[in-house]
Amino acid sequence: MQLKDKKLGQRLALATTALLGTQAPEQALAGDGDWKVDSALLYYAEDDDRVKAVEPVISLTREFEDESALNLRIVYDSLTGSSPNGAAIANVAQTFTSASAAARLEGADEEEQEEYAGRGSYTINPGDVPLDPSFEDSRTVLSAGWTQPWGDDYTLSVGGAYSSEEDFTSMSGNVAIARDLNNNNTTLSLGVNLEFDTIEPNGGIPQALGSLSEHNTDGSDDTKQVVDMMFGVTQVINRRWITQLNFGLSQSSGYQNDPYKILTVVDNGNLITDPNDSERYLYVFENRPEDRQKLSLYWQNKFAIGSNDVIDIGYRYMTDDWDVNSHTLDLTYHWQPLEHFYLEPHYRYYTQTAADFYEPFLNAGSEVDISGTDVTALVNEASSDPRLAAFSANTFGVKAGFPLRQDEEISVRLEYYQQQDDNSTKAVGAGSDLDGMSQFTELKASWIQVGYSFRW
Amino acid sequence: MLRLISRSLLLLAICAGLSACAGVKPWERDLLAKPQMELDPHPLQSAFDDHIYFSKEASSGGRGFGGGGCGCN
Repeated sequence: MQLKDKKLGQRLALATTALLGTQAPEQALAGDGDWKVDSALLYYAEDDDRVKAVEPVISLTREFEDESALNLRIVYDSLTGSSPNGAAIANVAQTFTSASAAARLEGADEEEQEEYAGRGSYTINPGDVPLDPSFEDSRTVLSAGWTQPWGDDYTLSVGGAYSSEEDFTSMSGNVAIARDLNNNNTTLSLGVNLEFDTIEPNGGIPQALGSLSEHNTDGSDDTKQVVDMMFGVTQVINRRWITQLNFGLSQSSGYQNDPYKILTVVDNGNLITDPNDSERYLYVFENRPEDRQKLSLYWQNKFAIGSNDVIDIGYRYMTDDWDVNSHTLDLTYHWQPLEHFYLEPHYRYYTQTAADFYEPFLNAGSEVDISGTDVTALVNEASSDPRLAAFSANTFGVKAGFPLRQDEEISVRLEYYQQQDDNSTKAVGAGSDLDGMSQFTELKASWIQVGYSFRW
Repeated sequence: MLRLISRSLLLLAICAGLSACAGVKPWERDLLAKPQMELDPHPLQSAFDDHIYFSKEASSGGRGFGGGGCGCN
C-alpha cells in the first residue's frame, strides 16, 4: 500500500508537470532497469477524397532509481490527398494554377515532372469544393523529456521537440516545476514552452493579399515564435474524485498565414476575370495578423464508479484576440467488466466563433480595388480558411482495450468527426455565380488507431 | 478576460478549500492509483487527437502545451 501511495504521489506530481511538458504521466512510472515501450499506428481519412494520413509513433520511457525519468518519442506522419485552396464554390467551372505543384515542377527530375505535370493546374467542376490535389507532405517529430524530483515536494521537468516537414521546421523547449501539498492531495505546477518555427513555402512567401496570377513574393521564408505559459492545480477531492484546473496563456508572433490559401474576389457574387490573365478568374492570397494572444481554461474531472469504471469529463474554454471563442466538452466512460478487457465510449462537442478577418470571399469595390491591371486589397487581413470560420463539431468514438498484464496492453480505437456550419451567409447577387452555393464546407473525418504497449 | 480570471481564481479557491477539509489518506487511494484514474491515461492517443484538432480547428492546448510542430496553420 505504501508503494501504491508513493506511486500515486509521484503520479500526481508528474501528472501536472508532464501535462505541462511533453511527457506522459504514467510513462514515468516504468520500473527500474527496463524500458516501457508505447507504440501506436493511426490511419486518418477525410470524406470526399480529401486528406489521408498514416502516422506511426513510438515512445520509450525509462525510470531510474532516484525516481527521475527519461522519455524519448518519435512520430512520422505521411499526408496525401486534396486540401481546400480557399476559393469559393461557384456554379461555373474554375481553373487554378497550383503554387506548390508549379514550384515543384521547376528543377524537378524526370520522375517528378511526370508525377506533378498533371497537377500544375486543375479544374473544379461547377458546384464542387475547390480542392488543390497536390497536397502531399511528410512530417517527422523527435522529442525528449527528463523529469527529476527536487527535494521532498518538488518535481522539475525539461523537454524539447524538433519537427520537420518539407516546407516547415519547428523547434521547441519547455521547463516546468510542480509542488506537492497537503500530503500529496494537491499539486501546483507552472510551466513555460518556447517554440521557434520556420516556414519555407514552395514558390516563396506570397505577397499578402496579392493576386494569385501575379504571385509576387516577399522572400523565400519567414518565422514565427510562440511563448506558452501554463499554471495548473491538481486536487484529490475524495477517494473517488480527482480534478485538474489549468490556466494557459499563449503569445504567437510572426508569420501566421497559410501560404497556399487564396480568396475569391467577386463582383456582386459573380467571378471576375483576372485583369492579368484573361483565362483565369481573380483570386488573392490570404493575410492574417502577425500576432495572436490566446487564453485557455481547462477543467478535467475523473470519477471512479464501482471498483473499475471511471467517468472522465473535460471542459475547455478558449478565447483569443482574433475574436475566436471556443467551448469544448469531452466525455469518456471507462467500462471494465473484465480484468483483461475494457471499452471506452467517447463523445466530444466543440463550437467556435469565427475570426474577425474570416471572409468566405472578398467583394470588388468595398474590399478589393481593381484599377486597370492593378489589384489592391482595401482590407488589412482576410482569410477564407474554414478553420477560422464559425462551426460546431461532434466526435463519436469507442476504444477497446485488452490489458494483458502489468504494462502490457493491446488497444484499438475508432473515432468519427463531423462539423456543422454556424456562419451567417455573406450576401451575393441573385442569380450570380455564387448564388445558392455553400460558403463553408463541413468536414467529415474518421480515424482508427491501434496500439501496443509492453516492457523491453 | 477579467471575468474569466476571477472565475478561475474562485475555482482554485474552492479546490483549495475542499483540500483543507477532505484529505485523502494513503490507505484510501486504492481507486485513485488505478491506471484508468490517471488524468491522461493514454498519452499517445491524446497527442494524436490534439494534432488532428489543431489541424482542423482554431483552438489548441488546454490540457498541455498545444499545437506546434505543424505547418498546417
